Amino acid sequence: MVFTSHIFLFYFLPAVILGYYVLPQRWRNGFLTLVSYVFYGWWKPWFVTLMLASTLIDYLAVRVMAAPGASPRRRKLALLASLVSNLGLLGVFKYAMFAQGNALALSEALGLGSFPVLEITLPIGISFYTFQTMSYSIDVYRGEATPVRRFGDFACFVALFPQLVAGPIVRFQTLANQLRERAHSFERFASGVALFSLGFGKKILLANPVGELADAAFAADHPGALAAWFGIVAYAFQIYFDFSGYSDMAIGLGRMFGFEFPKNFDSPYHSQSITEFWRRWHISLSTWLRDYLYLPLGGNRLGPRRTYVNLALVMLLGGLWHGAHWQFVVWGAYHGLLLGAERALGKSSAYRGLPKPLRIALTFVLVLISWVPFRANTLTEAGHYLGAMFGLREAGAPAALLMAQLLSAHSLLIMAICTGVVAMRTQSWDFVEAISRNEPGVRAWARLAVAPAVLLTAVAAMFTQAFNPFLYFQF
Amino acid sequence: MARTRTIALTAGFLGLIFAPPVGQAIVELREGERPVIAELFAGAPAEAHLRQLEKSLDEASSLGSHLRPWYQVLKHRLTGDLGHKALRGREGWLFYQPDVKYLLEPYFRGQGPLPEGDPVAVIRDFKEQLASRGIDLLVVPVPGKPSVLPDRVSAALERTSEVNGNTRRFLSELREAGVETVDLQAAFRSRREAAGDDGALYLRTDTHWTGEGAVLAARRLAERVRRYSWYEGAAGERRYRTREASVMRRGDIVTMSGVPSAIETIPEELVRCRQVVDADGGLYRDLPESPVLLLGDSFSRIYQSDEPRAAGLIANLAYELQLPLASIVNDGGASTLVRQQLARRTQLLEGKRLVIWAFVERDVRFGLQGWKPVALWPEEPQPHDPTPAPGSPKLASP
Repeated sequence: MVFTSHIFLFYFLPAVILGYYVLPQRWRNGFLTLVSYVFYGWWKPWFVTLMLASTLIDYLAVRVMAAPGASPRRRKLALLASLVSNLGLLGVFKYAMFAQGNALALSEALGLGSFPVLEITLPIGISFYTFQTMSYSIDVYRGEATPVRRFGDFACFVALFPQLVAGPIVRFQTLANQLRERAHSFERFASGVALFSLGFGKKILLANPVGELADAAFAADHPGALAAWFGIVAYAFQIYFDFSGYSDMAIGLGRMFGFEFPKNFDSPYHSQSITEFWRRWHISLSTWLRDYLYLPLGGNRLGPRRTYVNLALVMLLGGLWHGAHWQFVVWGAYHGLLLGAERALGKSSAYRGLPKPLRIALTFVLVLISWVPFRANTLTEAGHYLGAMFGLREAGAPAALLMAQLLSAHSLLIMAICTGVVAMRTQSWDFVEAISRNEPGVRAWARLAVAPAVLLTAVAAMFTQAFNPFLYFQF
Repeated sequence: MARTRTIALTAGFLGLIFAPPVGQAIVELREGERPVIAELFAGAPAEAHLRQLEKSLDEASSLGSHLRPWYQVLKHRLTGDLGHKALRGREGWLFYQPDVKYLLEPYFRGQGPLPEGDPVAVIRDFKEQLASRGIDLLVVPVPGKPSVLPDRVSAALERTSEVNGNTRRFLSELREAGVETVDLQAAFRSRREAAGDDGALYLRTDTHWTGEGAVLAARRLAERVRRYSWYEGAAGERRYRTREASVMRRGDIVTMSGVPSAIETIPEELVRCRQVVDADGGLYRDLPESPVLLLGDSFSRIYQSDEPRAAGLIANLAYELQLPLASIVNDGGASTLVRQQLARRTQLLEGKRLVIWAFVERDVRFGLQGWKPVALWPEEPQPHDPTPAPGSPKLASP
């Protein structure tokens, strides 16, 4: 189910809020788990069994690991079972087709003939919930988390519908106490409503319209430099407002049910270096990769050479986490390269001597370039698009038709709003903090009115838009 | 957050999400219907059932039907936006987005698998099926408005700018596959050259051609048809004449947008047509026994079965040839649906010498239901699963 859909907003959510608050506290986690399975299974019901299997394996692995008197070997085997099953699920459902495709290409290139490729549907959100369940078993193994006693609580942690499909990726220890006991208040609920409303607006009113512009530019045969830059900026806005909008909605929904999830975005396009960008973009993923990959690999403790290798490896795997395509590997490698270069310069950019606005602009351009392989369907398409951006491909006559599409009054208005929101560092999080302050007067009411106004307009717009799932659903 | 504001925000939100489903159910019950949401329990929770339920809820939503126009009007008033189907050109010209998209996007071949089918392979197969019965095929891609009027889309383009390389390549592939074609683009461009302005070939706020555009297409087609050896024998005495007719037409691009404020503000256009009448003064009528069958889409329907009637491509072609035609027209469905209709009425092909297949060029990429092979005479061992053109993936079976 998608947050920005009729069925979610007007049927699922009211029913869940009603059920949740009517039930006694001790049944609420069970109820949330049950409705989360409905939420997840809405797309393809049988995928619920997959999630249930993953939940069960990790729960049992940790039970074995944490049993009184468990030997180190037994603990290690239990951890291994958890890792192998989770990575195995990812391997089969996310990477098997990629592997088959590459094997097929290689076989054909070597003249060994072809073979049929087994089509496998990617269950949405699998990358997110497998990372979450793995974090649980790793944390317990490391002694950083206490094993959960009730299976229901753990199932609730894995399935919790607000952040199930596209994060933020929450570590078990972050939610462990909240699963046992959490506070519910009007203030928390209202701040959740405000965050959810603003996130809903970001997705429907900003991300979807700019997404159409990006789609048009990427679909064009010979877009021309101006259209190509326009298109990639539109995509940068799309992915930011789409994903941060989803995170806002997830955090907002969490608050409505008494949970507090971590912040996932912090004005990433205001970064002055790529290192800073990764501290501000998809914070829960970069934190996960740091804690469960970069640091166990040795981080920066094993000398400069090993640090670069670790950085590159983490970013390559981070790229692959996004999708089983070579474009994501290139995207990860590009970021790994830039991070390595900045590490060599003392975690700072090569343009650190320039004025701040220029540093921000240059970082944004570097990020824009990275979005090209991320958005393109193939590496060839990415190459053509980059060629168009840098004037290496001649624009055809139809490029002027594309510009007519991109420069319509409506497109320009949406792009101007997106630019304004990004440039002014307007963040839903800060906005909700501001309206949560106990300020008197008309101004506070006016600020408060923004959230319902945005939601109402976005709901009206939702009825004019075709089905448009979140970009991160594919990961 | 102050307590009052907290309560106001919470109450407002809960009101917004609870009121529509409750109100919707009340409305449906008062109308004696079962609430749509009750369908959830009417079947197993299978994927198809759930998708259908979502679709039904969207379609039945009273809230949606009230909010949708409000938002469309707001957007239109603020920016002149007419939704995702319309593109505003210069000097009041409106264009249909898929027409522009067709020109912008790469040629259909060479982009990987063709899930919508290979039009060249399908057309060749259709030609071969007809040829087995001694019937010729003439394929006529109709240029979309932006192909002929690129300078009306963007000031950066000139009237002579070549923007429809896709159709030129398509025509060339068809010819290589041995399929006879008529290139209307060249004829339309020449008219624009000669006229010096927009050539009065297309309607300003509609996807279709004017009455004059239809006549020009009919003349160009007739020139080719007259060269068939059977034509001399088929054409008899002069049986049709023409008279002027006009009609007021509101552009379909505006009506398709569904924006109420736009529909009110954009004026109707006066369209002058050439209406075809028979010797008795009666409007032209098709003759199923004609040696010529025309398969077409809305470009063949406009002014023909629409007002003023008998003034569209079909009637004017009949006039140019002085020969009644048979026709099957399917709005937007000239890629596959029209052939499927023909396959259900193959008796119409008895005694035919020629099938003219006219479809708007954007159908090459975006034809409704794609390009499916259709077996006209499936009981016979016909090659109805066409071999894809060189370099193209194999077509799926129908």
